[in-house]
Amino acid sequence: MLKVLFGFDKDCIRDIDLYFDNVYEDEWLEDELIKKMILDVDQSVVKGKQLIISPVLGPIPPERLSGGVKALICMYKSDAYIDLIVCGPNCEKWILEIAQNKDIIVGMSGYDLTFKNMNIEAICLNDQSNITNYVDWILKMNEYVGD
Amino acid sequence: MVGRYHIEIENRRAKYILDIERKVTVIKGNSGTGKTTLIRMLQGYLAQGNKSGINLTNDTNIPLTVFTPTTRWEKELVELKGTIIFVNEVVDYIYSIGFQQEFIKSDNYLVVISRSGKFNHLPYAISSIYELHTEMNEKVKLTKMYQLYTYNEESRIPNMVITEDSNSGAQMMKNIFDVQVISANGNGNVSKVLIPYITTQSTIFIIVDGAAFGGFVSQVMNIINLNNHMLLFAPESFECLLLQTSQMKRKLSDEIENTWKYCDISKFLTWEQYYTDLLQKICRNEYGFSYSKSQLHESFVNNDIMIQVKNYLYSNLVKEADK
Repeated sequence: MLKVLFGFDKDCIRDIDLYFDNVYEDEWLEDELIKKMILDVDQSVVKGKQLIISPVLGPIPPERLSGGVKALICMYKSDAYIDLIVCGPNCEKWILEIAQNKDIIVGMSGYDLTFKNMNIEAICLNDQSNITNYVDWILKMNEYVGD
Repeated sequence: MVGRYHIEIENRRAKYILDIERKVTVIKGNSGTGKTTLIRMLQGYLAQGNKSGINLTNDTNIPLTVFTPTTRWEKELVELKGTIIFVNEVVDYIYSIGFQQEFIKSDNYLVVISRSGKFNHLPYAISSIYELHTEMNEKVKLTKMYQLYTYNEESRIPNMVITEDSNSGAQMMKNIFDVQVISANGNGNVSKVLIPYITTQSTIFIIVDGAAFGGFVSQVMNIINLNNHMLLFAPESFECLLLQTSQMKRKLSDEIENTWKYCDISKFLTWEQYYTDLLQKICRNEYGFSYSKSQLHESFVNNDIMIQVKNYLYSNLVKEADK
């Protein structure tokens, strides 16, 4: 289940590069879901625990993955409390996939993720209300992010 | 500080081409588009110059700097002048009112890489919001900035108009369309005013000044996209619309087409302020009357001007750029 606190929370991780680089485990890159996310979001192929091939950067270590993918990996593999402004719209479907398998708590201090036409279910922690579709998500985001 | 600055930065694998022409530029969009790599390369070059292995072409030699979480921004913003400051989302102080207000007073440009909705005190234009795209067909991958929002033509007639304020622009729209005009009383209230209408079947025009609406456009477009009958029009400003009428344009050279050449940010926070000043000068010096933002002058209340303003408005429908 996805649980979201809309608005700016100073306790949310926004420096996802710093966090990921200090916590990730080599074995994480052997996970099939993580390989799929890296391929989809970064167009990069995982070749080993410490090697990813990027079409732009060439052979890179996990530290050079994008912030969005690092956030997805940390949501999936840890209890990191992450501000979703570090994720672009191309991360939306993966956030929902992760939330189907575990409870994740996130912050959201921007407006760029809408989950438009996706099956989103979440809990808005600002008022404990249920978000049952993307319209609910947009209306709650509109109500609370600017506060 | 005034002007458009062309910057190219490259290493053996990646090349970025940036054109920065306003006080605030925002870069966001999808993940994995090279935003972090851009900052990394800039920091590398600024630290070591050519010894970094990175080439930077900066045709005007404009100073560049990157603000980090440990930058003493209060001191830097006072001391820096005529500099392009790059900063990304990991830097929490950029979301503070204090930073935004101090930056506004400084004579520098800012390039912010962030999807945050917390830039309410940093007026920036819809046209200043970009994403990065990389062309993949060469050995050195070329990445450029592309505007996230485009301006388009529209022809529908509104049943209602919502404006950000009740000033002369709102008065003009009432004259042009002869429908109810509701003032939102501020950019930050536009989305709230829209909420009761998200299931409407009436055509609603939302008309705002694009030059200062960048921090609100994502929020408003989310609401607008829930209903095909809501349309956002965002010319740079109402004054810009008036300046494009034939009566005003003949007194200008290329101030509208190339505003970046003229808008000195030490005097004008946004292009909207520049256009207001320009219009005031023309009205006073060429036509002998005072232009007021708050009250539409009778000189503008005639069919010819209204038709021209309407036509220019209709070419300023905002849509998200096709991916």
